[in-house]
Amino acid sequence: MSLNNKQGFEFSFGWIFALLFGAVIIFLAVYMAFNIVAGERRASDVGLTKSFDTLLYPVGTGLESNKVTQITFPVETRLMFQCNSNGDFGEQIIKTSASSSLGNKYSQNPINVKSKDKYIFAGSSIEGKDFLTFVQPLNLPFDVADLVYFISAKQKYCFIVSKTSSVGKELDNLKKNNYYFNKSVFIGDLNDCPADSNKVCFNSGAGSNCNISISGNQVIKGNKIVYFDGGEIGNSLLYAAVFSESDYYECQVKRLNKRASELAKLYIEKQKMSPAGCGLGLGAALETYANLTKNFNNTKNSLGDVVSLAKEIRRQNEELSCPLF
Amino acid sequence: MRSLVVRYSKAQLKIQEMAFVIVAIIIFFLIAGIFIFNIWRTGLKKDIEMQRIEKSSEIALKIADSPELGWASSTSSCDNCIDLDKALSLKERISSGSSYKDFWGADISSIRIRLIYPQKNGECNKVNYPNCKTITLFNKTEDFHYVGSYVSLCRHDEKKGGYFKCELGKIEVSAKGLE
Repeated sequence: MSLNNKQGFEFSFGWIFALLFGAVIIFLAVYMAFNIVAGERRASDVGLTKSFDTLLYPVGTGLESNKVTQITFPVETRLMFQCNSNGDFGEQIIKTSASSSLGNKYSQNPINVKSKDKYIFAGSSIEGKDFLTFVQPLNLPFDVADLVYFISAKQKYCFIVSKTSSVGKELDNLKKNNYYFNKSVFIGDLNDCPADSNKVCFNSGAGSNCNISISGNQVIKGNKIVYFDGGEIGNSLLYAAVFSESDYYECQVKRLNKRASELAKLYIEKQKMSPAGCGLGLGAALETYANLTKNFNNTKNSLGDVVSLAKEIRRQNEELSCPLF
Repeated sequence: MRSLVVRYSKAQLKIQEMAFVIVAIIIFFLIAGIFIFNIWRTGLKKDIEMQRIEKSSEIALKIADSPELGWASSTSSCDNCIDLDKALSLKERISSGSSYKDFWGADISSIRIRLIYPQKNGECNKVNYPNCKTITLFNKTEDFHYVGSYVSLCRHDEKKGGYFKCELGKIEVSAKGLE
């Protein structure tokens, strides 16, 4: 390149060739580096989701029930939970994304892991390094599934309820065995609740300072109402409604009913082929129950009927000399 | 005959030299890249296989305690106990088209329950049950390796006025990629 010629710059072929080729090489190097980093990040997220999925197995088997299990990720992680109620069992969709200092903090489109036998109740997207989980079985009228509740240790919930009530007693027991849960869940008076906590009020009417209001069999969150049954079947659906968003809760309850329907059909088959004649006379009620749960619409219209039939089947089963379940 | 002599200028030679060096560097990086990619892929494959084995063992226990197989009554429950009546009913449901085949994951290619003691023979069906050894819930492929856990196999026995009888068994799971 010469600057002496006043008519302009003179580029030799060597320079043009070197510049063009250099630019191409640098572009390829940068492109490959970005691709490798993105690929590694995706592979790491898939590994993380799979590990998390596997990690939830002992939690869901009831081995760890009545106990808070703490799950700690190596780095700040975003967990996303989605529900799909299509098909015979629906699907629990889990996405995890580990935070990264390169590019976006969290991957925009992490790969998901789907499972048909899990029922996780949590916010649709929660972030943190430490997460807390506990399990409650759903008996309707037989064991249908273990419901897994999942919160970030950063989240705070304040239950405005007496410690002598069934919810108060259960949560108090859980608080006693985990330091983080004790710091995340509070029981007591509205005035004692931390300012940044989700306040869960019982039978005090919607509004005022409550984020979530529970009145009778209703859980009111903003302008959405979902229903649960806190009678004989315990508080499992109450916690499910509190810890998850309304639409997600409806979808998961629908999935649970689909599984209950399949289980009812399984018990009908067992009753028919039991060499000992167990469950004699329960067939018709189970048939009705299987149809009712299969066509479950929403908690407002269908849950009451399902629960009352489940109670009747349980009563009949308990009276048998050889119970079916 | 006049011979043709091609004369290169100094600059042309330098360009050629540079071009050769660049091509050589590219080839070197390509070979190195392929080598690194292969090592990374082998590592990833092993990781995935290990995860599958771990997951299969966990799943075997999980399935044994699931409502579909677990032995429980309204008054009591039993960890790692399989209700053998339910297991055979589940096999019948699956063979009649129930979608339980993919319920515990599409990776699970086979689940079977074997009676270890007392010794019996044959695959269970409605006719020979409970005098049989194995209940194969489903079997998607013949190419598999089983990972399992010991469990109690319980059923209601009508003899001696009726009682719950439990025997030693094993639940075995096979997943894709297990060798």
